[in-house]
Amino acid sequence: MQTNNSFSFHRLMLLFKQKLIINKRRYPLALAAFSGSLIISFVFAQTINNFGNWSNMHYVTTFISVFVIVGIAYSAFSFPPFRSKEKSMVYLMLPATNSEKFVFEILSRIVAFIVLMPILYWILANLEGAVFHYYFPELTNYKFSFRDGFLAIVKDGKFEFWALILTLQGILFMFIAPFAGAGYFSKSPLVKTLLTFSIIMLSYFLFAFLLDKSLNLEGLHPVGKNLIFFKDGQTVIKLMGIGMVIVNLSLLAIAWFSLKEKEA
Amino acid sequence: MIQIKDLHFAYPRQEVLFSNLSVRLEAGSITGLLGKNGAGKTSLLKLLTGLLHPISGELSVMDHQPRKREVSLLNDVFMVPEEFFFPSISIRDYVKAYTPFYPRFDHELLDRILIEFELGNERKLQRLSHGQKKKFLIAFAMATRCRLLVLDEPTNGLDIPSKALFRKILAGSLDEDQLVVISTHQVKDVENLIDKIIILDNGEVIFHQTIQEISQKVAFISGTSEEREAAIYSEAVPGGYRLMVPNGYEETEVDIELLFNAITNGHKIG
Amino acid sequence: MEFKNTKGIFLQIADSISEKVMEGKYPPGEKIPSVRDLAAEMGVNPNTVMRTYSELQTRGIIDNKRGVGYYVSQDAVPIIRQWKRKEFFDTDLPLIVRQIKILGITLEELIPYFESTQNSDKL
Repeated sequence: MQTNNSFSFHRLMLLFKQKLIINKRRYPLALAAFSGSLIISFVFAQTINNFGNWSNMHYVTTFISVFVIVGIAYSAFSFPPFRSKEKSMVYLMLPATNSEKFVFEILSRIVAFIVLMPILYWILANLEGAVFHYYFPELTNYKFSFRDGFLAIVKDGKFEFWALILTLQGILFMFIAPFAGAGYFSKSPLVKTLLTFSIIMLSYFLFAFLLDKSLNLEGLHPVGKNLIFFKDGQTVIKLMGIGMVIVNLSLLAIAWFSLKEKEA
Repeated sequence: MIQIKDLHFAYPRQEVLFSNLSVRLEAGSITGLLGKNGAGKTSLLKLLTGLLHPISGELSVMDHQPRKREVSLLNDVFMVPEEFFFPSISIRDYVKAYTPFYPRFDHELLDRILIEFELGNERKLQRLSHGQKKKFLIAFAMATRCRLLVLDEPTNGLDIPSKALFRKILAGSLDEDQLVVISTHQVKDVENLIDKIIILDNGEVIFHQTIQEISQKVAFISGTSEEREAAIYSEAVPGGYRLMVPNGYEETEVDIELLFNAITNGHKIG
Repeated sequence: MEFKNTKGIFLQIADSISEKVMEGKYPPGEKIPSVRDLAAEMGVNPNTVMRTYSELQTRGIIDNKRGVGYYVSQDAVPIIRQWKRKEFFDTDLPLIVRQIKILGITLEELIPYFESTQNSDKL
């Protein structure tokens, strides 16, 4: 019998099936808890906003904060078997390739969240709005649309190509960093990941600060629009965009090698 | 089936465990892997299943390097570890979630063993006792029909009748193309089950013979202090001595404990 | 003081099969359990049972019909009797005789005991 040792879509599906069977009780519960707390926070926010001035912009800002916080937390729980030796053994010996397990983790953690969470949010926001409107017909700002909400925040509604790349990569980074941390660290990955990035950022600023001081670069501040050597804002955004792509790819590589070289 | 040559392995920041380990194992055997605490039995089993990576040397299992964890090897190797984890689902759901990964999985055999072990399909795995969980895992391992089965202390935690059942199940449901490696301290539990003994000591395989070879070379008898003179190795027991003597006449049952002590104390049986 | 030593497991299995043949549980021509079935029944390594079967086959106690299984041979009973008698005179009897001598038991003492056990066997 010939076994595909690189990538089998069938086995990827088996991984999903396995996950669903194992969590068939947990998923509905988690979904209910998440939806419940979102609806409660909508009601609460609208109540303290005096029922009146709640708007699409509020919906979107709430969305962004929930998206960021829950997203980071959810990504940080990637590679759940790595939290214990016994689970790691079962996971590593499960007859699926590293690439299938890796793709499964990305799909079930990052992609699923980025795709499903906004849909769920949209449904819940409109559902809650409609119910609210039914009981308080005088409230008219109950319909939620992402487009209107974001347009309220981003005034001109236009993004430069590299600014868009930078934004998208920044969003992805939020997920990929804890994802890689969850692959790399066995115990309390989120804390360790945050700590690691804090240390990296601090060292960077310290380095830039010292560089600034020692070279006596008057007026060339590392923070702000005039990053060292690049006075042109467009170039800076482009370079930062490219930098983020590289950072994200490196983080994915770290996650991949963590899985591939994992021992238990 | 298994070829190990000059295997070198150490855990990070720890002293070397295996320096020049070499051994060859073929299918069609139930091999007992013996060794003192810390001799590296579990580590060797984990190296075979790709859970640990060798530092250097040759390690091949069914023509695969286990560290690559290729599916064609993973779906042909099953390990029952000493400590394990189960999700909180029923046996039926566990079977649904895990069996599709094993192309030769034998559901009929699983059901038969579960009945013998008195484990119903609806039982929740998390609510089973440690011994029951272990029995389920053994049943699952047998039913995968993997060519390499690795059992780490399989009888630990099994009750008295289950130990006998374990032997019967193993003896009766293996094919000739399968190899079972059992690591254990409970030699009585596997006494007539294993047909080959490997002893691991000081990072090396210091003994590797079949039960038949052993029993043709040496006999294990009880005797007096005079007979002790002719023995290769002896131990005092109530009422006399247990002796390992060169076999001159009829084959005796192999006293694995005595053999183990003899070998690890530096005696040779040729 | 002399201890009785335990025979190798493959010989123990051979003895138990021979005993069943002598007792008539496995009459000549009868099929005996397959290697795997017997191994499973006793929890003994199949290779050991295999060794027993080839030993019994060499002695002419069982026959292997290719692809069908093992059968008790027609001459099994006399072969086993001869084998067991030899074994009795070679190994068991010397031990008994030695004990008898050590304990100073006379032949006359043994005769009534021998007759009574013979009678109880017939019951």
